[in-house]
Amino acid sequence: MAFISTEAETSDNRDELVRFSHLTRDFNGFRAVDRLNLTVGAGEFFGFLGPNGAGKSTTIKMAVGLLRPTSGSVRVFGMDPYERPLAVKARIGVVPEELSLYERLTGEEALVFSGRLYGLDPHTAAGRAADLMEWLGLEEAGSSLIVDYSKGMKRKIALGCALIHRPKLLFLDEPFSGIDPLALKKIKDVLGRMAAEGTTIFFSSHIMELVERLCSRIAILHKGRVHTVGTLEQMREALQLPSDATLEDVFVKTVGVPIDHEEASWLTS
Amino acid sequence: MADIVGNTPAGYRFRTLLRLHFLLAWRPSKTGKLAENIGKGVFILLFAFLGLRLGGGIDPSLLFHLPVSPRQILVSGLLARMAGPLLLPPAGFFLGCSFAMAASGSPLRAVMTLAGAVLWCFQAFLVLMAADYVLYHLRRSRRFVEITGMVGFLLFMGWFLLQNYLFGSTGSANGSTFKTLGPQLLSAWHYLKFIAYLFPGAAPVAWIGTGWYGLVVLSAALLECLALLMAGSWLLRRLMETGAGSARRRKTSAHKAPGRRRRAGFLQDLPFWPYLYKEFRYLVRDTNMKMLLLQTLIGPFFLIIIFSSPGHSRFTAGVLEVGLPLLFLMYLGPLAFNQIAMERDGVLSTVLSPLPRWRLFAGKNCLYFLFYALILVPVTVLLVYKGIGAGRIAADWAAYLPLGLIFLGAGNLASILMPIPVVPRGRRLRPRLPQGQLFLVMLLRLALNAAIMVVALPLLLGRWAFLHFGKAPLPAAAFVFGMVVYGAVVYGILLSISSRIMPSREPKIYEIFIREQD
Repeated sequence: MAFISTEAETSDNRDELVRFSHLTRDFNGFRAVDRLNLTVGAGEFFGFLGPNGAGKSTTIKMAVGLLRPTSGSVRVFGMDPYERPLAVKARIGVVPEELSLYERLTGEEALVFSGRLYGLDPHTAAGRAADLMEWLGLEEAGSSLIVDYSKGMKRKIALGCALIHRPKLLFLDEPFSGIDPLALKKIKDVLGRMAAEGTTIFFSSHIMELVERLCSRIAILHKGRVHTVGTLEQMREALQLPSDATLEDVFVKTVGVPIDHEEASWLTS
Repeated sequence: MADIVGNTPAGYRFRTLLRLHFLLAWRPSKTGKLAENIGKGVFILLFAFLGLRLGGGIDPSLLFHLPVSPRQILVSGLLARMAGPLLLPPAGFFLGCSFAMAASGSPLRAVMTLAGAVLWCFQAFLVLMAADYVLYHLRRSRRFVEITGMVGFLLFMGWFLLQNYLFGSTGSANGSTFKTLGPQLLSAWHYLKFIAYLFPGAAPVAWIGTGWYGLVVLSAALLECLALLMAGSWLLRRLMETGAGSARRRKTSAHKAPGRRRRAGFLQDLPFWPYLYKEFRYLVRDTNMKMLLLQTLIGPFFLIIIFSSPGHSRFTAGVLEVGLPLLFLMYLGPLAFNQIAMERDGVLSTVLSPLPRWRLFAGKNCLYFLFYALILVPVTVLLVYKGIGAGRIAADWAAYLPLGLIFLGAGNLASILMPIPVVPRGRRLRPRLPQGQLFLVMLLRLALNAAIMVVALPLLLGRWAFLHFGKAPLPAAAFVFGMVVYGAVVYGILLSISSRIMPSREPKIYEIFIREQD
């Protein structure tokens, strides 16, 4: 592929928080992640891109201890998430792709519950939950059960659950789908500030504009392998794209999908 | 099925409990009794499965988005209910009665019973539909409808008891329980029953056995159906017209709720509090769980009524003392063995958290243990009523409570190793396994039950030893202490093992749940 950076080029000389070494995961003969090598440093807002089925979610699941790698290794805070699962989980926050919430709790109860799971005392958990409900624009739905929430509201609660204990490392897998623009702006601002203050954010999304705006470094995954990693400028240079090329241009060129205007022409004729 | 009633005092009470006085005021033959019992057996079984699924069946999207008239909705709703499984319990009951009447040489009455059944079902479903519309109109809240459904169920059971137990033809048999009240109520019933026959619910069947007065009753039944149809149609039209207003009201009332702060009591500082609290909220908010809770709490009181006749004291007390606690372990079983399966909703919250896993189990176990202890209370009341001594009851509790604890400890372990729901009730626990695999899992769980009983053998031996050698206070206390310590130690060991193996099993458990969703 056009540009595969080395660790020295991209790690920004900061402390490594996440390291994938030759990470591989097979599902019944299908290789979802193929000898993936990647490091993410402290305080980075790291974008993780790829077309559907590229292996992004599988990689994140292996990093947070949800899926065992077939081979290779994962280190989070220098620890193996399968050897020291509780120590790793105490330091991270995760917004998974599939929502998994206790739907018979109210939004506020779910946040308090999540805070308590991460060791917050009852008073702190309740206070932070109330703040998060307000920040996420859910104060009016505080007493409704999550089962009655819309998808976007559920996403907000999932995000709140991941943030309530102020993790040092956040894994966000498509966190913004269904979230309204007002809340999205607030969330983007806070995440940006968190990254500036040293929180590492591992951010997977299909919204190119968002990744381009937020992330300091980006990796593009295709068929289970990292094809490109670096800053947007580095990618443009490596792919010999003009300086005003967007991340979308970089993505299309990296993944190499030809644009065929004849496909499904009945839709536009 | 005939054994359901039999000739025992318990069976007699049970039969009386289900008797509609005005419908069955005749003396059936032996074959008639069998048919009647079959009908009642069907009623009991189906009602147990379907009884609480009444009401709340309204589909709001139908009201606002489909180009249909209120009458069409009303008729289609009524037909759907008449063709649905909810029809089965009353149909089983009335068919049984009809066969019984035919077998007893009353063919005309049998036919009239069937006609009465159709009218009764028609009216009952109309009432249910009108109630749905009223509830939905009052407040668009699932919780409200659920709570109202529960209250309705309790009232229905109360009506059953009153109508059959107090006013039944066998009312005199209850003289010992209602020495002064009984005759008065019976006397009142004698004078008032002609008015009571006109009420909805009674009228559609009362005309069968009331002679010329039946025509008046039948007219009342038909008028009631007509009135219900008109009321249902009016309510539905009103609901369609004011639907938006109701939605606004709901939003306003929800607006008041947030910002409430609960003071952190000492309970909240318990290390396993989060799961205890979460599980409690789930129990009280899940309809199926509420059903289980209600059945479990009400069931023993029914048994108290059934077994409250004098005469069989020694035998029934013995059966109750040993049988009921073991029976209640069956209630505990679905909860204990499905502990991880029931976490499916929010499994990621659990597996991604750094909480030591023993706290997860301890929190859930604590609630279920309290639940188990609570359902033993009515049994204790019954044993006291039967004249069983305090020492013997203490021995029972010292044996059965640790037994429940061991059951929960083993359930933790089993639910980690087999996180597959196998209880065929409720959306959350519906198994999605092939039948063969499900059968194997159930066999494994049966084997586990047997293993638990082996582990619990010292408790049963301890109880036996207490009853034979624990006459003096000191040995008695020693036996009780020994049994409690044994139960706690075994539970502690099982909890520790569960806590250790859980983190390594979590990726597998997650994978199983994800595949189930696919």
